[in-house]
Amino acid sequence: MGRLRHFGLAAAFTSTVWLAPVSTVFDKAKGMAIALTLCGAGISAAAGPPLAEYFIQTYNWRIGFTGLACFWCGLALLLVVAFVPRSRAPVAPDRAESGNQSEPSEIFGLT
Amino acid sequence: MGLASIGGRLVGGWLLDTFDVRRLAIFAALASTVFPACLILAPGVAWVAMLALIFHALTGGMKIGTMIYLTSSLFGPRSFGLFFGIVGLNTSLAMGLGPLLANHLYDLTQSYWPVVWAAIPGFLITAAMFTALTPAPDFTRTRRKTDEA
Repeated sequence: MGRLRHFGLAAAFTSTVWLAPVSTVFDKAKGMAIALTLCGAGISAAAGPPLAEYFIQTYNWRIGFTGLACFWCGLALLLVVAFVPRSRAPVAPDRAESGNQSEPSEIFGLT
Repeated sequence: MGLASIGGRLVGGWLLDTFDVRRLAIFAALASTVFPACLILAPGVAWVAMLALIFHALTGGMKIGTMIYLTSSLFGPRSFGLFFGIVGLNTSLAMGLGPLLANHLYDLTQSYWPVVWAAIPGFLITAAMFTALTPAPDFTRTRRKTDEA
């Protein structure tokens, strides 16, 4: 029951976590970037049942849970590390006063 | 419905990059009245209900993208998480309470027609609220000014 609660909490955060960098990084083609992100969620929802069935048929439902978690987590982690640009921390007031403002606080307009 | 929703999202994404977002939001809200209107005008006709459902899914996919785009444009990247969280909270509340309210109305009236009728003014009010939106501020210019200060 506790694990299900944690799963629900994690699921509640995910859409904001995906969409925040997409809406920040993309500028000119932001609409299509948001659309593709939302499509990805739909496609993964469609791919989930066959994958789950494969794991359950081949092993059992416990392995199925773990296998699905490892598959999606591994895939997402690789894509995030490879493609999501690192956002920089906001410029602190004392740093701004000292004139060290060479780095912008956030990334805009990569597209 | 899932395929139509994905199609709607892709078409909506292209439209968002091509046309004015506020007008698209108004259009999507007005187009959503087609589904309940079809159910009212052609009750019990399966193919009309099916076509109306596909059209509703298409506009639904467009609405989600529009909502995210507007949240990002109007509130800026720094406040996106907070405001998108509020939007998501409202959506989840409505999705949770909607079936409860609809079935309560069914228990009271022995019909779903009041729910179908109520959807039309709901979408019209949404469209009217979208007309009140102001143009999005230029956050990149604000940031550049902050960096220059």
